[in-house]
Amino acid sequence: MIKRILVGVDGSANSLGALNWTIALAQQTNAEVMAVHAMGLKPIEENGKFLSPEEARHITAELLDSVWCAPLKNSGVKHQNLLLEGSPVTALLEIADESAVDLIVVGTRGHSLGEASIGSTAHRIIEESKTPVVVLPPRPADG
Amino acid sequence: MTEIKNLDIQQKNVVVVGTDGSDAASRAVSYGATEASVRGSKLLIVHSWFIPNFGYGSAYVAPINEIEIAAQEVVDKAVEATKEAFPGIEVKGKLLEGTPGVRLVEVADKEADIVVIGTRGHGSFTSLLLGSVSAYVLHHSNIPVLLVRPEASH
Repeated sequence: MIKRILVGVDGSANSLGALNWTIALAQQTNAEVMAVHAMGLKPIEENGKFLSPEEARHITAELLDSVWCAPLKNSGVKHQNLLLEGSPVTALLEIADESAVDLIVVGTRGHSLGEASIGSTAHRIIEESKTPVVVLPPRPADG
Repeated sequence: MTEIKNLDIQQKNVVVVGTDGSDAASRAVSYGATEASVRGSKLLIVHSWFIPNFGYGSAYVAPINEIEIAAQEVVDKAVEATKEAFPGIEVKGKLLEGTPGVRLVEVADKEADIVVIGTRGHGSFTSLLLGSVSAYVLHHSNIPVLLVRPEASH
């Protein structure tokens, strides 16, 4: 049975698609959604200056709750939003293990750039996860 | 600006799973069955067979009938086992001729909401871990791909 679904969010269009897909699955299965964002190790720049770790954390938490996870709030699905620090792959897999997650949902590509159709984060999650992983296509098929 | 279109979670009420008759694949089949039962969907189990190409001048002639019969057995066995373990869902099998990953993606895109496939679960290169079929499916599918490792539990 699917009781708890973890989805990575980063505010990208694909991540929004992944979140909406996860919400629909959770509604169907009465599962709980864990929306997770890992802040990574790079400092955040705003208006030409770097934010302090506290500021960065504060702003990201705000974004996570009120913007990136807004569809989740509006869906009525049982959920929790988690802001983690560290490498996205490690943070995500650790929390998946600790929280006995049944399924991990990732978009094919988040904010990263490059030509491969699968982002490096998604690739490493597929490679290292013990939990089954759903990889969503970059865009739905026509028709 | 990327156009945001939502992926419908369910349009066709079919979960498709690829099998080659291996243990890793049967894990994927039973995960697919779980997925189908929570969604109230049908499960379609697909297996592909093809004639290996031995190259120019090969004196070897593949016994096509035997290959096809063995392939049909792979499908039938998987369907039987799944029907027994998951009596609540409708299970169908499909035997296709052609390259496994290519055929699976074609069927999945046309007929299913999600495609489930097993991975080998070891190896440090993703291509090795995934196996060529699951890697192909992952990179070419237009619908969500659920990857199940051999040790995955549910």
